[in-house]
Amino acid sequence: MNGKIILLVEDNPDDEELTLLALKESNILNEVVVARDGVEALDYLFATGQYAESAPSRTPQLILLDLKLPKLDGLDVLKRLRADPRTQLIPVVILTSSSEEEDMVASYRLGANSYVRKPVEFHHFANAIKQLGLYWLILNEIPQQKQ
Amino acid sequence: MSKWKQASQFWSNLGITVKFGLAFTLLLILTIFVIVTSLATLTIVQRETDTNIISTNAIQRQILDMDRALEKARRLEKEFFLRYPTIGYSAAYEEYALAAAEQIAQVVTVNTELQQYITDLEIATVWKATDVNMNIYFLAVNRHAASVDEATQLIAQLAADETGLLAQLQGQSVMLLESIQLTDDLDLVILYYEMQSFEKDYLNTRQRPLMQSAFNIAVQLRGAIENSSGLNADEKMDALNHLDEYLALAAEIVEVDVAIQGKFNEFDLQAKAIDPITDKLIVLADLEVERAQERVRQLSQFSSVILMVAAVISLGSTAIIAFTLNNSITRNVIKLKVAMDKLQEGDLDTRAYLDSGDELGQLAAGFNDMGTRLQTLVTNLEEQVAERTLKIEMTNQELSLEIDERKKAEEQIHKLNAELEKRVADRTIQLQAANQELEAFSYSVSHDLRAPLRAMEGFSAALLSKYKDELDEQGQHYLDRIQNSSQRMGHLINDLLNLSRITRSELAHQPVDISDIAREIAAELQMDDPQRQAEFVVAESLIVQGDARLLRIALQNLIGNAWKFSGTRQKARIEVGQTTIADCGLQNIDLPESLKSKIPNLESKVYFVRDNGTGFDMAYADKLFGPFQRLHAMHEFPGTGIGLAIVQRVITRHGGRVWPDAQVDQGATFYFTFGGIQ
Repeated sequence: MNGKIILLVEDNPDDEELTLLALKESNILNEVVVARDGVEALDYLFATGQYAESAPSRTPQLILLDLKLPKLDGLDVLKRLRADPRTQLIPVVILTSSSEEEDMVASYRLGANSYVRKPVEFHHFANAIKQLGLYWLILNEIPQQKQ
Repeated sequence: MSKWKQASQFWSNLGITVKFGLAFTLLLILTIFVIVTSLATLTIVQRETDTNIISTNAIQRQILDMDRALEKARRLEKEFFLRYPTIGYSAAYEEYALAAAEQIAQVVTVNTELQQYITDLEIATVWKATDVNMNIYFLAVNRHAASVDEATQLIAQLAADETGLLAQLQGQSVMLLESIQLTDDLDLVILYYEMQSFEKDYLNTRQRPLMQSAFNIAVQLRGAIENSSGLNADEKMDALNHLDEYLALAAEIVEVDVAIQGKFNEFDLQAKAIDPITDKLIVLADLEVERAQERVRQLSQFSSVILMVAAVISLGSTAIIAFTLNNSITRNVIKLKVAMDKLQEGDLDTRAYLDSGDELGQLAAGFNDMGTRLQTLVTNLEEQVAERTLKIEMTNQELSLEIDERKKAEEQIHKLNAELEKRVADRTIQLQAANQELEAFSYSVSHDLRAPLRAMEGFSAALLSKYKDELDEQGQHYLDRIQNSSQRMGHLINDLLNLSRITRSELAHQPVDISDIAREIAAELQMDDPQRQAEFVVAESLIVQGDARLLRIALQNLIGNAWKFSGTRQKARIEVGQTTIADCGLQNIDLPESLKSKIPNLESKVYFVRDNGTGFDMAYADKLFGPFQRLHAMHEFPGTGIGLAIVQRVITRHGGRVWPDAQVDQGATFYFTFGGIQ
């Protein structure tokens, strides 16, 4: 649509597909990069590991981050993002099944921009994804990245 | 001798109080005696002193007054005699003679008073003798007064202003001069003035030869007048008459002068007579003062002697009393004390021997008695002690055996306790671990169980939307069923999570207005379904102590249930209120025993939520509070059956109880208390 990239960090392939489906149904056609664990997400963002050799990755406009992830969980990923000047301003939306209060508190404390619980009903889920896309990709503005 | 012994016996048999009483009475009498003696002596001395001093002083003063007045009178008289020629008789008389007379009168008065005094106060026999002197003095003064009077009369005769001899002489002198001036014979006039000159000199000096010279010249003047040619016979006669008159007057003046001089001499004599008397009186008065002082001295010496004697008597008596008391009391007390000390030191044979019948004697007797009894008792006691000691030693041996056993038992108990504590600690750790596991489990349930559900729901939804046309009705129906079940499972998981959260969360303690919360919930329900006709009755100000968030969840479930199960009613009525255990009719509620036994039998406050809905059969009442227990078919009333389980957890965590009262089709009431917290 406008070249803005969405980074989806999700280990569950069902949820990954449902998210992509929901984005598609909402006519959000931006490029979606999927990372299946925390380490992979960081590798993509900082061009390390498996992304080290590939062409310089582009900074995503939005990161949809699950909390429960293999290797490095969502909160650790968030902590690292916020600690690095290259990524500290990227909007991060926590998209998770957990509705535990402590998870919410921890996320916001580490600098998450939103916290959305994945609804079980698909149409609710699709609606949530649509709202997120509209808001963070179109309505919301972020400063130009300082390289 | 035997009488003395009897008296001493009597004294020693008197009681201590009587002894002290007698002694102090005696001392009191002595003290009073000394005081009275002193006072009496002092009074006598004072009175005598006063009398003597006052009278002698008065006499002395009067004598001096008298003397002074007499002195003054004399001075005034002298002044009078010296000054009348210069200032005139009347003036001198007024100024000096009268004053002198006054002073004399005063002397007489004082003298009379003094005589009176001496007669009245029988002060001294010496003064009686002075009476004579006083009389002489009195007479002398009177004589003096008479002399002065006479002298004054003489002077009056001589010098009275118009009638006096001097005045007459002056008159004759003038007339003589007039008669001889009728002729121009200067010799007459010269002789006249010569005569006059001598006469004046006499008057100034009172030297009689001068007057003699004047008379001699008068003889010449007489001859000159007789031989004068310038005067006729009548004139001569007239002049000679005047001359004779003049001479006669002059002669008389000389005589009077002589008389006056005589009076003066008399004064001196009188003075000589009076002055020694005055001196004598003064000496007497001084003597009298000395005598009075001597008397006072004697009196005070006398009184000192009396006081000394009184003091010596009282000191002696005091000493005797003290000695007697010491003999009969103090010495005995010391004896007793010595005996007591010995007894205290352990000398049980000690006895006190007092020769006295008073309390001390009785005390000594009692003390001796006690000593004897003490001796007996000590002997008995020693025997008993020996016996007991034996017994105790035996018992001690038994006891030490027992103590050993006890110690062993205690050690065992300690060991067991330690084991028990260790086990409790182990259990606690295990429980904590289990709790942590449970929390981890809840977390994964919330997170992991939802994901596959979402997939099922999501993909079936995708299938339904994308491939609807390729599925027949049956196929669509199955997909619907999959979706419904997934959604239901989602609700179940949410409710389960809520339930576990209520169990885990911290409890706040603060006043909570459940009336307010109930009204808010009612408003929310009405807003969700504005079509429904329902009446909410919420009692005012139901304030309880507890956690506002959890109480809200419990009320949401209770009121939500009431709302749900009264949905079929034409006019639903939901009531939230407060009552008491007694008033909620517990005995009439057909409650299963498992619930009933837990309801507190207290006069505590009971709150309730009541509806007029479908109610239920009380036979299932105990199942109501189990999670996922339902009494109605899903199609009748939807729900997971977790609500009342949550309510019960909340109330239980607040230390309270919850129980229902319901009948099928008659509505339901849920009572709850806050027993432990209120």
